[in-house]
Amino acid sequence: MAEIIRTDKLVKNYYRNQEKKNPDAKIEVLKGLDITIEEGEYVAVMGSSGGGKTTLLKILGMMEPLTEGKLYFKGKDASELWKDELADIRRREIGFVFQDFYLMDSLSVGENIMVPMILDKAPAEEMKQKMLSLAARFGVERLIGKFPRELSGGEKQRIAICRALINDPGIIMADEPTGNLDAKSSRRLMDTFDDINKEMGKNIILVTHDPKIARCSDKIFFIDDGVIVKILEKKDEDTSEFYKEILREMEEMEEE
Amino acid sequence: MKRLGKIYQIISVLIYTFIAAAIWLPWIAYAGQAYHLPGYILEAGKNGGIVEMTGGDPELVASYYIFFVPLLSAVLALIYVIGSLAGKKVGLVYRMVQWCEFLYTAAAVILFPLVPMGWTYLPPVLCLAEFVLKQYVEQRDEIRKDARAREERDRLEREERKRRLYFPGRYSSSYYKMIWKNVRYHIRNYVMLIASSVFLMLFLFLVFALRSAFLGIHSAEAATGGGTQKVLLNAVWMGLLLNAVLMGLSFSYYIRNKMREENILAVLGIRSRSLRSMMLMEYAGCLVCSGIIGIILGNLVFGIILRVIARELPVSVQGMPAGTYLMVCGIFTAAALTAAMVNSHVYDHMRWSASGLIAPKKNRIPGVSGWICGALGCVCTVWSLAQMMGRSGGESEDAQAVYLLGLILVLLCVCSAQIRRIKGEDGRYYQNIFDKFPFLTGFGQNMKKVYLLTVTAFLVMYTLSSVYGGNVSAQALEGQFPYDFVCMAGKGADEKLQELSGQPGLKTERYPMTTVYSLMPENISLVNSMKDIFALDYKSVAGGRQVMAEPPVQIGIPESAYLELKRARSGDEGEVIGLSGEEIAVVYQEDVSARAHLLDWSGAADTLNLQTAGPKAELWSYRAYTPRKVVREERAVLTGIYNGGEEQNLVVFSDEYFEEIYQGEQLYLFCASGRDYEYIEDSLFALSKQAEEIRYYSSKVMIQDTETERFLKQVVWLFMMIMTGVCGIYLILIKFCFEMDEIVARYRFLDCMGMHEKTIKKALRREMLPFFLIPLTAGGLSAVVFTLLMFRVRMYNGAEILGYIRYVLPVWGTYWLAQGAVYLALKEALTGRIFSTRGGLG
Repeated sequence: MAEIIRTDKLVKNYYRNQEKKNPDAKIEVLKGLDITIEEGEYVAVMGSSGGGKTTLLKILGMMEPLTEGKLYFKGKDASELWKDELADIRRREIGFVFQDFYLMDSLSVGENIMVPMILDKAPAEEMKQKMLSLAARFGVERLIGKFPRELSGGEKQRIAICRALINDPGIIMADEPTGNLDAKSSRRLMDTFDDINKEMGKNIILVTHDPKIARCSDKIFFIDDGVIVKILEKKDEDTSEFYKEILREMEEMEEE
Repeated sequence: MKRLGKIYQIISVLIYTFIAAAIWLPWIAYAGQAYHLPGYILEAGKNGGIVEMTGGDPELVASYYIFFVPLLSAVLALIYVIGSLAGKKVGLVYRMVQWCEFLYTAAAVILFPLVPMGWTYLPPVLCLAEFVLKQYVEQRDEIRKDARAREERDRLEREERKRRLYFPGRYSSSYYKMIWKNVRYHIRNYVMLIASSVFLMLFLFLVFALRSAFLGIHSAEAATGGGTQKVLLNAVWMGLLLNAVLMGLSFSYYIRNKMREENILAVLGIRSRSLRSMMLMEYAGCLVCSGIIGIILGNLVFGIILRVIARELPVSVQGMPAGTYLMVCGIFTAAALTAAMVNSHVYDHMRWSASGLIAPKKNRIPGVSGWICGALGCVCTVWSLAQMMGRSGGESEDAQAVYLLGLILVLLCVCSAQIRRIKGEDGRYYQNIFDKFPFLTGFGQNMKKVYLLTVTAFLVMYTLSSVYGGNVSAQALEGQFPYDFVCMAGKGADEKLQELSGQPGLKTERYPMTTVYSLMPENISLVNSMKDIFALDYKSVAGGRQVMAEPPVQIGIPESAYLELKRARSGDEGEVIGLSGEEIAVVYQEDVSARAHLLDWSGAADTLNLQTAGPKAELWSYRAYTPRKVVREERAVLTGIYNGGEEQNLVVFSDEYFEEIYQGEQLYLFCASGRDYEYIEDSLFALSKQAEEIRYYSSKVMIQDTETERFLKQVVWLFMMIMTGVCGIYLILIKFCFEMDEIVARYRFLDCMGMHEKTIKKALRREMLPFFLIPLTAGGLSAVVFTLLMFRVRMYNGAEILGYIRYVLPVWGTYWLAQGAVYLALKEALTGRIFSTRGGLG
């Protein structure tokens, strides 16, 4: 399988109050990660709070620069890409789903779904058709004329997924997508991600705390204090064994 | 290259030969004779040294010592020329010549104007040109190679960029609909942004409209103390400053509110150029709207002002020409673009900060630095109050600016100490957590607003009020110009004026006088003091008495003349001062609209530095101004106000001393009537053309000009007061309107958590009050103190104080009431919104 994303000794530091010369102000978030994600993989990132999961997702999604190391996207070194090239990749090749949905309050649901296509200068008719078909697929067609403030959490999350898919990207990145959802909505969402991965053949990179959500993935990176402590891979289609392994790993991490 | 090198060598040798030979050219002219440099130094040696030869003139002494530098340079240049012709290595000598020339130029510039002839600056210039030529010859090939490589690299990058960033097509209408919907959704932010720009446009329009209206009716700008243009210029500076603060604030809030949408779009892959053009479209739209609204409002207000002018002044005023419209629009656009450029940096910083790329600034509560600020603030406030109380400061803008700086520092110290006290004790902290927490979390930002509001309160209640109140309550102008013509004549012109005073129907008063020159503290020259240091004349340096501009002219009269003038003005026998020896008394001739001008009190507390040597005196020498003991000061108009009271004040000498210094000058005061007025004016004009010793002014012109100036001051400063007051209110509105959603959400949450309505209202009140109470108290108390000091500086009597208060108190009251009304309205609006959705909860 072709390699989609690879990191080489990825390091990310933050500095309190931008005091870059002050060693005490340095916060090491990611400490030399080596990650490879291949085409069609469903990957989850798990770990303790503050361990660097969201930062990793932001870097993989090219929303944040890295401090040291390399990030390769489809074989291209991200540090050699221009700002607008990164924007093009985010727009065409990656779809984002966030815990807080990130919908624009001023736009209707339909318009929110269409935003990536609008930004891609797509023809209006094509946008509408694609938006309607996605809305129908995810059961939100009756919400198209409404505004985000009128929706429930689960509905907002489905709208965010529609938006992530509208440009037909190869990768979906989701940061705690079930964080604001009830159990039923979470299950539905995970079924959706499963469909996207299996039927549409898209990569999924998912950050989560929930082992029930993570068991749908093919590979799990456990991150603690900026370091990958374990990589779990699903050996067969039996998710119950994989789920047990995840729980075992989580317990070990807690004990440490 | 070889050819160029040879050419350079020839040029270099020629230039350095010139530098070596230049000292034999006429370098300085002294005592009517031109000397070359060695000759001048030998001449000084023959006369026993430069101090003996020149009598210790600081400029000549300082120049003499500096002349050794070009002398050394010439010797070194000669060594360089011989060495380079002989093919020896003379790099060090070459550098030393350059350093010598640099040193000479630096000394000459600092001590400008030096005594040597102007052409002596030529060797350093040639030396610099030779240096540049050498650099060019040495680096020409490398520079060309680099430039070619850079061009090639740029071309390749351009092509690569074009290929990789290829993004054809146009955005669909949905893109523009999206922008429009966003604008509509955040319309409140745009209205605030437009309103702040409208202020700027309205202000610029009115100031320039008034300028063009008054241009034709005001004739003697300098004679009335600055004139209309000075009034308008002051207003422009102040207005631009206020508007810059307002625009900056509203723009930063606007950006903060836009940040979320922009981050979403950035994550979804909008190109940076599209994002920038979107911002630009919105900003340009706001500017165009505010420009149009500002011009419409400006026309309306100007129309009203023109009507008032036509009613109040016996002159006709013109409207605003089309060219001025364009100029106003140009300045507005320039100011708006500057604001955009400054804010663009802030915007980028905030955008990156919000997306996690830059850590947000920590909200620090000053600790030890707070106390240091407090101490510095105390020093500043005490210094400025001492300036106000002292004789040399008076109502200076510097003292007010330093006071405000000190006040801000003291406020920072007090507020940070208060916050630290609350944070320091758990019980107190939890007791105050809800009402103090918002101020604490945004301490730096909140304090900035408190400073601005305090400055605004001080500006309205003192700085602007003092000008407005002083002008409105000033005495009627007819009483301030008791004579139709005031004329000062030298000894040579006395005969001609005596002839004129014999005209029938002309009432003439004649007094002996002497021209007195006074210095202002700002006349001290640092450059001249440096010359004194070179001349080792430390006594002069310590005195600091150097003259930079032509000093103001005052009228010196004997005590007997003073008593006569008093009698002539009031009919009573004036109180005898009883001056003896070189003692003096000063009569400040001006109305109550300005400080009683202090002449020069920079020396001892009761001495005034004056020159009494007559009209052809040496004005620029510090030795000519000698200290005089002042035994009495008063403010009274005996001959007339001139130059806003800065000139023609009366310096009264004892009769005996006046006899000693008297050089035959006369003060003529004419009262003409009807047809004679024109005749006398024409005659005085003709006489002043014939004899330079005659200086005069006519009260008719002065009254008209002072009247227009007073009126303009009233209109402009009243407008400025209104505008500053509105700015203060607008500042509060910006804060609370932009933060309204966050405040409402916070209190709704507390309401949900079970906080009592009464407690919520109390917390809200306590959150809002610092932005009203601190500025009004600090600014108001400062204004009261400054006003009391102003009464002292302007020498107000009881009636004048009452007259001032009568006009200024309503202004203060209105400001307080407006602030109170805004507080209540905001409190009601916030409370209403907090509890509006309560019924729907659960």
